[in-house]
Amino acid sequence: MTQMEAPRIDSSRIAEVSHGLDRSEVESRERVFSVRDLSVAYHGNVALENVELVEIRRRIGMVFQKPNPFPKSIYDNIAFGPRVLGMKGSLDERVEQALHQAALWDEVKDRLKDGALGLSGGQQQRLCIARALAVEPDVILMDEPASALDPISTTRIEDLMHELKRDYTIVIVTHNMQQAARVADMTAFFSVDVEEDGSGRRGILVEYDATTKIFTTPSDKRTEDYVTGRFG
Amino acid sequence: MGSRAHLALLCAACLAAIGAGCGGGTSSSVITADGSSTVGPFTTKAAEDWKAAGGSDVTVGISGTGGGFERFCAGETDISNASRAIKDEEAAICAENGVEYVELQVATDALTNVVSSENDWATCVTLEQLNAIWKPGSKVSNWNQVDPSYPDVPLKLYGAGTDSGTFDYFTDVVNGEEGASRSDFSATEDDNVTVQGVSGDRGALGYFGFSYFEENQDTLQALEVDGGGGCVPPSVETAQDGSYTPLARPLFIYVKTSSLADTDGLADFVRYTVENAKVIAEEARFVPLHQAQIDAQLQKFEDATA
Amino acid sequence: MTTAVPTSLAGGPRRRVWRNRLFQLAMLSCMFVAFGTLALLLADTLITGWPELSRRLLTGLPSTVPGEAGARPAILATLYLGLLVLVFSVPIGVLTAIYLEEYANRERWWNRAIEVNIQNLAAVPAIVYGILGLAFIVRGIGVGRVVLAGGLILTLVVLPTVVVASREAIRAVPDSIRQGAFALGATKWQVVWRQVLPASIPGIATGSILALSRAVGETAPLIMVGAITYVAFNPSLFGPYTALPVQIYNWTKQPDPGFQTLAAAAAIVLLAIVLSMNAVAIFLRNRYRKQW
Repeated sequence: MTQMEAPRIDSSRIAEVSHGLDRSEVESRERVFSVRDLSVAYHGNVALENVELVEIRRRIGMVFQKPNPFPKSIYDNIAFGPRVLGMKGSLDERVEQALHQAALWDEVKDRLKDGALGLSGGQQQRLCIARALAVEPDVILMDEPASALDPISTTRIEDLMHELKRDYTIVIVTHNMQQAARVADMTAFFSVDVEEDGSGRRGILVEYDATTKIFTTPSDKRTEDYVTGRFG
Repeated sequence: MGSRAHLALLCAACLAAIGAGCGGGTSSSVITADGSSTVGPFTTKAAEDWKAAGGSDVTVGISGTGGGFERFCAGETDISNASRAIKDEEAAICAENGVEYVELQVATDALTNVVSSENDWATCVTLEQLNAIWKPGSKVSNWNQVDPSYPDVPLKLYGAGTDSGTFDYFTDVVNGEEGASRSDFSATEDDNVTVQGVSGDRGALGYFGFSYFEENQDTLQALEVDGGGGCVPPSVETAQDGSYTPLARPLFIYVKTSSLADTDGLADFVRYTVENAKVIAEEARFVPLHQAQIDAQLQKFEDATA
Repeated sequence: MTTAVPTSLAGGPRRRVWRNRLFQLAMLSCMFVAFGTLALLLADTLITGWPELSRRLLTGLPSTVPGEAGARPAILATLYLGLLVLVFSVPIGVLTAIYLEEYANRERWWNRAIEVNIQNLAAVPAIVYGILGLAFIVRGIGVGRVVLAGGLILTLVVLPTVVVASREAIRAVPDSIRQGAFALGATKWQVVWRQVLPASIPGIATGSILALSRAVGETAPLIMVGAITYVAFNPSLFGPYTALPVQIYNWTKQPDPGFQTLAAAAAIVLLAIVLSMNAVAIFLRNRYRKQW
């Protein structure tokens, strides 16, 4: 994870942000970004309770597991964010730039007015990434962005992540260890604790370190068990 | 933040649109008439001729005589069409609401008892026979109970709906009390139902206004009525000269005198209607008044408005 | 028991196959009863009314002479009423649906009560709305027996249907679209207004137009609130009026049989209006077919 000047996430808290985004935990649409009951450190501020959720969502881009383009044209998909946020500057330029960044421009430049749902799954996912980039987020969260895609599309997404990490902090949630090893600089391993009193299950951060260390010499036994394939 | 404001704005727009409706009222340049379905065609014809002669717009509703008076006494209409005279309790409501009016007879109707054209035995009924058939609790269900000389054919009855002036008038004359009638008959506000029913059943008997018989003479035949002075057929002549008694009835319009000042052209329309009552009645297939009757009604109107 | 197998194979299916055929036959005959009656009715109306279906019927004024009578004021008033119903019921109905689907907290008893009531209101007979309208709109707030009052009452009649149809359409929009929009920092209203609503327009339009065509054919509540028989001038928003179904109803009650023919012809006109509305609904549904 290249850490440039501004975006910086307190490592001990990533666990909880990501945990909040774990698909299995997401029951209703309202909870997707329900970080209200979590304490998140962002830009050095630990408590986000009093911050507009809308503002957090705008700063932290999100790419979902399943591509979810809007049922509109390719252009309108990208332009939606800048429009609702009232961003200044040329919309056309912004759309083109976002599509360039997401390595989709060459494939769609001649059919920007066509429906986004006509694109292939991999193209749709890159469109969603472009859509997130168009609002200039600080951080991009990707929730298993390639799990619904074929291997070739997956490779393209991963290549794209390598491109983008020069400018953005990317947090990716994945169950694919090889993918984590391929794309991440830093890796956090999460597990779950079952409460003794039966009050439920709680996500815990097991270990957070450089990716090479996590996959070769993890400090925690549970991490080692997982990366060597003892469970999971 | 913005969502609430937008929503409120839209709702306000909706309410404003609804609220805009509250200001209006009925236009006073339109004359409104409502009431009896029997008299309705007469007033409609009058309105049509009046407009053709360059008069103002008249609307005619058909709520039945009772329904018409309800609206009239609530002050909602200028003219109430009635196939009977106003009842005391209706007049009381009018008085309560300060609605003053004048009653004008515009035509005559002959309540006609009809049977199917296939009925080859009955030609004349007495008032007593009608009473025996229609009185409350009557058990007459076969023609041979009406007259022993009639064949053994089941009697099927069709009558006017209880909201109509026709029903009120018929029960008053035949049964001696307004509204008193046996209840096991096909009651309808739609006289065409009676036409259909009677024409299709040789044992059927029904009654309605003369014009419905006139229009359907090919499938129906009218019974002569013996009111004590011999059998008299219903016709324009017998109704006009008073010999078709007691089932010939006057048809009225009630004019709200307090509207005469408010509604443009109302007085002129009423005057036109009464003056031309004879022509209008003929056109609309009613039994017309004599010239003397017309003059009397015209005088009555002038007196009421003076 | 090797012999038992062929026996059951031979006996079993025959009965099931026979039942299958019987059921198909039953369904077919039901369809013929439903469709045949409709076709018969339609054919009868068309045959009866055809000779009177003329320019005069569309442009003429009503008259006591069947050969001269037209239905222009009634047709115009019916179109006005349809327009009013559209203008009132769609915004109110859609906003209600949005509130119930997107904003209302179903944990709260009053929101559940509203939901149940709207479902029930859709089943209330139109005449009840007529009585209500007479008491509250015509006499209560004193709108009078005018086109506007008729439009408001028909709006009440169809509003529950519009709400229910709109809710269905809104509910059919996948959550992933809402999530995608939220993720870009859109506010709830922006998500609803720019994503959910456009995506549910085909469903809303179809439901609204079908409700509208019901309103246009409605007679009972209009008789209650003052649509009258004889109106020989073009209607205005605050003026007295008659509507096409009321005109048809009244013509059928006239003594002169010529009016029966005229009523059938006017019924064809009404049918044409309703059918063209439904055609618009079908067009919209196909034009903006669901894309997810």
